[in-house]
Amino acid sequence: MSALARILFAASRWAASTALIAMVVIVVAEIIARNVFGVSLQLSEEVAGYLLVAVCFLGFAASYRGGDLMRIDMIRELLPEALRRGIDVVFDVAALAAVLVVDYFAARFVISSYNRGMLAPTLLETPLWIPQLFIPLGLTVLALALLCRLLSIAEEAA
Amino acid sequence: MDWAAQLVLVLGLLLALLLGGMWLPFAILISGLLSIVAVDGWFGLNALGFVLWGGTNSFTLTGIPLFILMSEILLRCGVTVPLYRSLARIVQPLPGGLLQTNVLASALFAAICGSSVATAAAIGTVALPNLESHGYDRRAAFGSLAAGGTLGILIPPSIPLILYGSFTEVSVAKLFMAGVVPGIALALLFMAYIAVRALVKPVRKPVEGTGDEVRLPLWRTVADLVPFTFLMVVVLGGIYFGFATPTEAAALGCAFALVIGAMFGGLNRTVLAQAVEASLRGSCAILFIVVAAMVFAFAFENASLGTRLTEWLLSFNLDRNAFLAALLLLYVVLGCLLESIAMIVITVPLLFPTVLAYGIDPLWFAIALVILIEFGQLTPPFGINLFVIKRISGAPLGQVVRGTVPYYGLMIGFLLVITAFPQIVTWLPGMMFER
Repeated sequence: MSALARILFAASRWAASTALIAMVVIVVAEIIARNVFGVSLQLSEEVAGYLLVAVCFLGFAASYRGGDLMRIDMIRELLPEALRRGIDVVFDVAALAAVLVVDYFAARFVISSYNRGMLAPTLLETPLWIPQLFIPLGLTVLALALLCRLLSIAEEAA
Repeated sequence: MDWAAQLVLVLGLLLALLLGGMWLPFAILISGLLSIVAVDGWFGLNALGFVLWGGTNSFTLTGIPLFILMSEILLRCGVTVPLYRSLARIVQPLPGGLLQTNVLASALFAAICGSSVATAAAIGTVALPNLESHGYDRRAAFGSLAAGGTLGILIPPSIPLILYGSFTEVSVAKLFMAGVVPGIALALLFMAYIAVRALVKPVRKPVEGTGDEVRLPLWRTVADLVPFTFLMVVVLGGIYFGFATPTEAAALGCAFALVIGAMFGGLNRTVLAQAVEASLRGSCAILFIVVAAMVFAFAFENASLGTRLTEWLLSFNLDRNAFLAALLLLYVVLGCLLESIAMIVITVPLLFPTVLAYGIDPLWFAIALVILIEFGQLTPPFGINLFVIKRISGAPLGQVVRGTVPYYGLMIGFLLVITAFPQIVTWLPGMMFER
C-alpha cells in the first residue's frame, strides 16, 4: 500500500514538473514564432492553460508532503502536546473529507464533459475531458497523501 | 438565514480554523464548502468542477510558476553573490554603506522575483555574513533586509499583482507597470532614510581588516551586473513595449535565466532539477490557496454576499477619504492575521465592487494594497519577512522587529504620498505601448 502510494506521489510530481517545463517550451516557441517568423502558433495560450491545470493539481500533494503549505503556528505552539495532536488529527480528517467531496464533484464534472463530448472552441478542438482529468487525478493523489499522514499518526500512537 | 449573519459565520469559521493552525488552503476550502452547502445544500456543489476548471485553466495564472522558476534558476546558479558584490562597490561612498547595498540589491532582485519572502531570503543570505564581518549594527542591518525584501512584490514581476489581475480582470501588464515608479520611489526613500540615519548616528563600528581594501576592478563590477540588467530589460521591456504578455515575459525570462546560468553560474542537470522541484512546490503552495479561494469566492457569489456587502458598505455614505481610511485600517488588522496571498484572494473579490463604486482607480488600489501587504509582512505577530531574517540570522525576533520599526513610518508616509499624488502609480501604465 505505502509502496504503491510512494510510486503515485513520485509519478504525480514528475508529471507536474514535466508540465512546468513544457509550459516554458511552448510559450517561448510562440514568442519566437510570432516575433521572428511573424506567424502565431495559435495554441500557446490554450495549451499553457491546460498545463497550468496539470501543474496545479498534480503538484498539490508534493507541496503538502514537502511541508510547503502555510499555517499560523502561534496559538498551536502554546497548546499542550496531547491537545495539539488531537487538533491535528481532527483537522486532517476534515481536510481529507473536504478534498474527497471536491474530488467527487470534479470527477462527475469530467465524466459529464466526456459524455457530452465537449470540445474547446479553438483551432485544436481539444476534447476538454483530457486536461480536465488532471483535476480529479491530482485531488485523488492529495487525498491519498492526507490518508497516509493520518495512518502514520495512528501508527505512532499505537 | 440573514446575509449578515451568514457572512459573519463564514468569516468566523475561517478565522477559527486559521488561528487553530489548520493549513491555510484547507481552512479556506472547508469554510467555502460549508457555506455553499448551507445556502444551496449538496446540490450547490455540482458547480465545483466548473469553478475549478474555469479558474485554473488560465493563461494569466501561468505567470506564477514561470516567474518562480525564473528566479529559482538564477538563485541556484548563484547570481546574487556577484550582484551584491558589484552593488556594494557602487554604493560604497554613500552614508550607510552596505545597508544601502541591501536595499539596492533587494530592489534589483525584485525585478526578477515576484515574492517578498524569496527576495528577503535571497539577499539576506548573501548580505548577512558581509554585514557581520564588517561590524554593522545588527538591528539596522535586519531592518534594511526585511524592508528591502518587501520590494519584491511592488517592483514587477509580482505574484500578488498577478493574482489581483486574475481576480479583477485588470490587465496584469498595466499592474506591473503601475508598480515600477512606486517601487523605485520606495527603494529611494528607504535609502534616503538609511543615509540620514547613518549621518546622525554611525551604523558601523570600525573593524580591522574589513575587506574594504579588496577592490574589484571597475570592469568586473560592470560585467557582473550585465546579465542581470539584460534579463530585467528583456522581461520588463517586453511587457512595456507590448512584445510579450506578462506570462510570455516570464517564459522568456526562464529561457534567458538558463542561458545566463549556463554561461556564468554552475548550471547543470542537478541544479536544474532542484530548481524545477523547488518552483513546483513553491508555486503549488500558492496556487493551492488560490484554488481554495476560488471555491470560497464562488460561495460568496452564490449567496450574493459580495453584492449585499457592497450595498451595505455604500449605505454608510462615507466620503472617499473616510472609506480609504477604513480600508487602511482593515488591511493593517488583516495583515496581522493573514499572509499576503490569502489576504488578496479572499478580500479582493469581496471588496473590489465597492472600490469601483467609489470611483477609486483599480491600478491605484492594487498598488496601495501591495504596500499594505508589505506593511503586514513586516509587522508582528505574523510578519513573514521578520521570520525570514530571524531564520537566516539566528537572532531573536525582538531584535529584527526593532530594526524594522522605522520602516513602518516610511511606508505609511509613502502610502499617504501616493494617495495625494496618484499619478505616481498611474503615469507609467498610461504611457505603455499596447499590442
